Amino acid sequence: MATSILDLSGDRSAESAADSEDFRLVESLRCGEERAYEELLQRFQQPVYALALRLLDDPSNASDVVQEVFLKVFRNVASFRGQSTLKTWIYRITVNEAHNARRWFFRHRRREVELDTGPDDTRNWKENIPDGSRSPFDQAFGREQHVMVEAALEKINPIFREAVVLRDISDLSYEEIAEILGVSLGTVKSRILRGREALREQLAGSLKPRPALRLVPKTAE
Amino acid sequence: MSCEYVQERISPLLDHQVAPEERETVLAHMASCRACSAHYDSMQNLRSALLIMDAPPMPASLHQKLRVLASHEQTRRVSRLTMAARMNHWNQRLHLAFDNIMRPFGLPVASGLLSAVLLFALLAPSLSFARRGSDYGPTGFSTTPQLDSMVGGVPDIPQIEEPDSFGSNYETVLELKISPEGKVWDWTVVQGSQDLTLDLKEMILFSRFTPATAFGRPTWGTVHILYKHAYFIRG
Repeated sequence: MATSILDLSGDRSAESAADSEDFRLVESLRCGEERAYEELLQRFQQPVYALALRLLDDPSNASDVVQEVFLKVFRNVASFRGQSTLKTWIYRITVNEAHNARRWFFRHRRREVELDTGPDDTRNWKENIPDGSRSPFDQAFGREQHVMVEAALEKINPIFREAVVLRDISDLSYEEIAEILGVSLGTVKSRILRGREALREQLAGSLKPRPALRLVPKTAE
Repeated sequence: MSCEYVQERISPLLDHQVAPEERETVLAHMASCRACSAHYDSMQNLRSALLIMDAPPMPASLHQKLRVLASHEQTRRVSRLTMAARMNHWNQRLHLAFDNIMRPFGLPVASGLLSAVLLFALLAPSLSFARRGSDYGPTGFSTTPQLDSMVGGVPDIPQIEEPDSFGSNYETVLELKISPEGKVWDWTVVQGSQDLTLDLKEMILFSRFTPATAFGRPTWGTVHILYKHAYFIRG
């Protein structure tokens, strides 16, 4: 059965506004405006770190990768032609740097033991999910699910993992993922499918929809 | 339509990547197939769990490092915009590099110099040129013969001057060669009459000198006697 890609992104005006925003930011970066550097960091440092961490499973490696990514962005912003969005460009650099870091890690640092842990690293980031707006039950449930999913993500093939992370966590479209990974749309579809199936197998029934918690008020007799 | 085919379509279906007619077919199959429906539910649960994943908090140290990196890169870019900015940038970098190199030496050098000055000030009084009780003068220096006692018709204590030249003010100028024992060994008339008066001859014969020294040892030396109305001694 023939299938076709449906374009449901729809909002062209929002896209053009984002493009013009990117263009303005890139031009400011080229002119060396201090505020532009600050704005770029504000917009992308957190998502880039999250992506790098999920692709590498190691906070110190992820920090190194994030620094490399922004160094490349700052150095090569003059050569950015706007053929893709700024986000796609930065994410592509992140994925490539994560690839390089993973390769380097497997060649050199697999047998190293980390001795120096800073105060920021004393707690696993998985155990540190600040969210004051949710109830303790929601927090506990979310944390448990979060840890399970993270553990399952670490176990699946990195090729499939990056596709799933970009789609389901970074919330990118198939087209953007294809551009970031430098593969065809069909390959993206296939990787996402295989990645989700691998994740589903890893979790194997441990993921359940969140149970509704009902509090029944009772008056004291 | 097989279950395998439908289950392969579930992932793109969740992402709205299935054509409408195929979507209807897949949904119709799932309505009648419990296994495919369960598969769909588990896939949807997985996707929901992934979508609500919290972003891991970024370490504060990384945030600081990125700000420093951005600052450096911004300075670097600004410095390359024009030639003047580039020259100014390199000037500042050289200045900074020089400052960074010299700064560690500044304190040791200043304290060393200050210590040397203080030490010299403490030791300076002990470096006097006064003759000590023994025959040995201060080492490391050479001294000229000094007049100890003078006999003859000398009206006053001889005055010692340091004239640039003997000039014509003096009637007689004698050059005395003083032995290491402090006695006049030889003499010559440098200026004036060769016929010396009796007073001058007595003075030459009986005057006593502290001999010249070199590195603390007595040695040969010469003195000039300048005579007009009184005797003047010039080493």
